[in-house]
Amino acid sequence: MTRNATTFPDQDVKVKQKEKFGLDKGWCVIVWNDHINTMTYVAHVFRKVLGFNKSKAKSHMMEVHVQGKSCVAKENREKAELYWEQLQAYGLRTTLEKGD
Amino acid sequence: MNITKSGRSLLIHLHESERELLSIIFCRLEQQYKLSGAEWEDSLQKLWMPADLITAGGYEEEREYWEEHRAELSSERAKLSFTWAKSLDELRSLKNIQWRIEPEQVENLLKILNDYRLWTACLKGLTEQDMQDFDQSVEKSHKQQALLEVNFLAALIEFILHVDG
Repeated sequence: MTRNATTFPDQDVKVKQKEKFGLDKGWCVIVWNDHINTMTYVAHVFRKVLGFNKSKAKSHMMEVHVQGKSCVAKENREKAELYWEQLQAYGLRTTLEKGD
Repeated sequence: MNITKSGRSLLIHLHESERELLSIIFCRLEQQYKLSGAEWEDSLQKLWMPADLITAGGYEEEREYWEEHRAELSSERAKLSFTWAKSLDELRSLKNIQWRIEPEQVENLLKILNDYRLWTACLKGLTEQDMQDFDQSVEKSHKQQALLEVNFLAALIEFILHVDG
């Protein structure tokens, strides 16, 4: 199931096979800035959901805050969707994007 | 408000007014969680559901998935909200109010408190400017209660993360 994802219908067979077997780590989990979630809370969620250490969590949190968004994980579709679901459950604005 | 640890549990020390406000908040949360998706305000549905599913092009299969997902989370969070409202009611008027949260419930508490912040900000139209002008805003008095609640819960979340982190 695709959620908030940009898809490319003409992917070649190799890409489709990679995706089928979970090898295509081209799905980017993007967290967007908002003015309600606090910075500490966002960093905490990154540590809990994505297993980041304090420093990495803070770095991505700052990227969200300053740049407006951060790609917090690049994974195969199944794993990316799992992260997406967990981040949404914490109330973070999250989307999935298919990269190159 | 203060928070200490008792073993791995959290002990949240509250004034009576804070206890009362939290109890009211959990009652409101329980009522909101119990509503079906169709009964939610449009603005709240947009918060919960991905943007492309609320536009005309949303796929039916995905909509169903999201509705099930929302219902599942809401059901679990409604039960917790009820339990916490009840436990806070039982602490009413005590001289020394200590509200205990077991370690396995801390993450759920954070998510639920944050839901209330997001929903209140959404329903009351709190802007970034409102959040920054909390102390100075006189003209926006209709938003003051919402701002008070959102900031109170932010402080509680920060305390929890500080003590539990």
